[in-house]
Amino acid sequence: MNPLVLLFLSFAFIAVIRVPIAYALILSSLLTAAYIGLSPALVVQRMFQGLNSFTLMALPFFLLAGQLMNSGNITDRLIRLAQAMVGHMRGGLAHISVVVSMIFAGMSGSSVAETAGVGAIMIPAMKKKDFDGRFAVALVASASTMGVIIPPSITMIVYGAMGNVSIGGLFLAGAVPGLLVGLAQMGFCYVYALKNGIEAETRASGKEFVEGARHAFLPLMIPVIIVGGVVSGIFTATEAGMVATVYALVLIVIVYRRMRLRDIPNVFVESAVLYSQPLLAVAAATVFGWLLAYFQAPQQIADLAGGIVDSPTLTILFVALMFLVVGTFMDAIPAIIIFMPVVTKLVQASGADPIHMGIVVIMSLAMGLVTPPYGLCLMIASSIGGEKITRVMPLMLIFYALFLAIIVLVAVFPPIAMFLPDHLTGGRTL
Amino acid sequence: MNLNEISDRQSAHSPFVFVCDIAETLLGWVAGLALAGFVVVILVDVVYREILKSPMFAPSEISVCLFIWSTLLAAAVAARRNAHFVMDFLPETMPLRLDFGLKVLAALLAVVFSLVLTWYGYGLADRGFRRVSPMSGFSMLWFYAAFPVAGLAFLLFTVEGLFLTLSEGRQRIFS
Repeated sequence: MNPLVLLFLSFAFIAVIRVPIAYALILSSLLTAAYIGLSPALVVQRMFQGLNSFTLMALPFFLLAGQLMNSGNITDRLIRLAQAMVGHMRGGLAHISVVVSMIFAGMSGSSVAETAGVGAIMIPAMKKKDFDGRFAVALVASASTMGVIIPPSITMIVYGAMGNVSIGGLFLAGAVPGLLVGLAQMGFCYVYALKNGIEAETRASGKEFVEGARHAFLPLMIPVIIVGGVVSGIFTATEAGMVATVYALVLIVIVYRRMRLRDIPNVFVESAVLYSQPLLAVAAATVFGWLLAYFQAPQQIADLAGGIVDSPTLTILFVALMFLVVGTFMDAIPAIIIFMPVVTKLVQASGADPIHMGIVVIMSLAMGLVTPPYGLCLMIASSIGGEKITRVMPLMLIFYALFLAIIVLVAVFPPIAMFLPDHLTGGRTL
Repeated sequence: MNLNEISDRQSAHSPFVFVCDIAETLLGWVAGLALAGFVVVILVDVVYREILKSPMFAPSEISVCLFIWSTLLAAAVAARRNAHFVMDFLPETMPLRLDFGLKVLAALLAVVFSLVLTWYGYGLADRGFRRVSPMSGFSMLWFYAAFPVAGLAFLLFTVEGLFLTLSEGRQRIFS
């Protein structure tokens, strides 16, 4: 049997029977290595190499900062600001949900943390204000996808670390596409509110706006520290994550007094358990990716892609389609690591910009967060809203269509993503 | 009923589950402590470099070592909580015996994964005795030893998972 076929088939079988993806990657790699006479000891050696990365350490920091923000009820402050900004528009609460998600996305780097944090407050609030529960669930889940598109983003860190792509460049490139997603969703909210006769909230006075901004000012410094620190070259992504974590800790414990000192160890333990899940998959996928490279699979897939690689745009659309499918049943992080060698090869073959490709890949995988069967954010939002996913699905289709349209737009018009990295970095690598 | 609930129910009766409870708490604390450790190391490094203008000695190696320990030990805790990423392909409702058979096979494969991590991790740690890290000169044993230690923790929890799968399956089939 072709060892590459054995690798994929054994992985597919083991993973399909609900063995964790990380275990399936290791076991299928071990089986294939043994089949072709490679030392099985190499498997653990490669796992070590997968984790032996200073850049990947940014991931725990962003997750920890997100956990601290959730524990410290920072969301309340963001909602107050969002209310002052967009509450006066028709369907005010829906717009507030989207704007809060946008701001939260600039802090946590994780869509799952965002759905839980924003959903717990906004879904019940929207239901109270005559919004259909299904709409509230669909909106909060869809808006949370901005968490991985608007910087900072854990998915971008993994993509950058695995593909040797500038993380600062990815951060900048994600900003405009993320805003576009948010604006499109707000447009739909407006139409929905108009059709269903949902009124606006009271317009905030100038004083209320200033108060809202004042209350949210300190938390809003987190994205400034992270993105500003990385883009200006003061910090690496990892160091920026650490500074954001320490800042969030000082804010929550000392300034706002929303957490007692004795609660901190528990937040650290739970954060460690949370980040260990993608990172074990990263370590395992490094082994799998190494075997793929050993069998020259990326080259074979590039050959299969044939004439597509003559056009960077077609290549990006082809990769987007691949990740849209993969994202429906697999988490973004293992998906990136497993398929990164293929993406790198296609980028080289087609001459596509690696940052542009990265943003389209990340957007495609973000959609997987709200598509069954592995739509984590959709599941969390449905559970908070007490709605069955099947009942939410008709509304989700509209959000899917909007999201897909923006993915295609970003893929076909590179300046949408590349304008900021091209102009703010002057072409230097971050 | 999830694994933790089963675990809560049985912990009063089974010494094995009690040992697993203790191990989970202990490993979680060590992982959290290692996380705090690398936050502090990187913080001190940034302060030394940016404020005191005097770079620290090998901070990245110390922090990566703590990061690896924290990740692997916490991953074992996540294994006990059934929290690792899985693919959702199989339908939720399947014939009882087929469902049971697949669950047992999955639990067995998880035990095999733990054995691989322990056995080959031990081999890696053994080689670490004779190697030193490039910048600091620390023994690589400090880095590699996380694999067999985490492997043993995985083994403990996946064997527990296998027992729970078997007992839960038996109850469902015979009731």
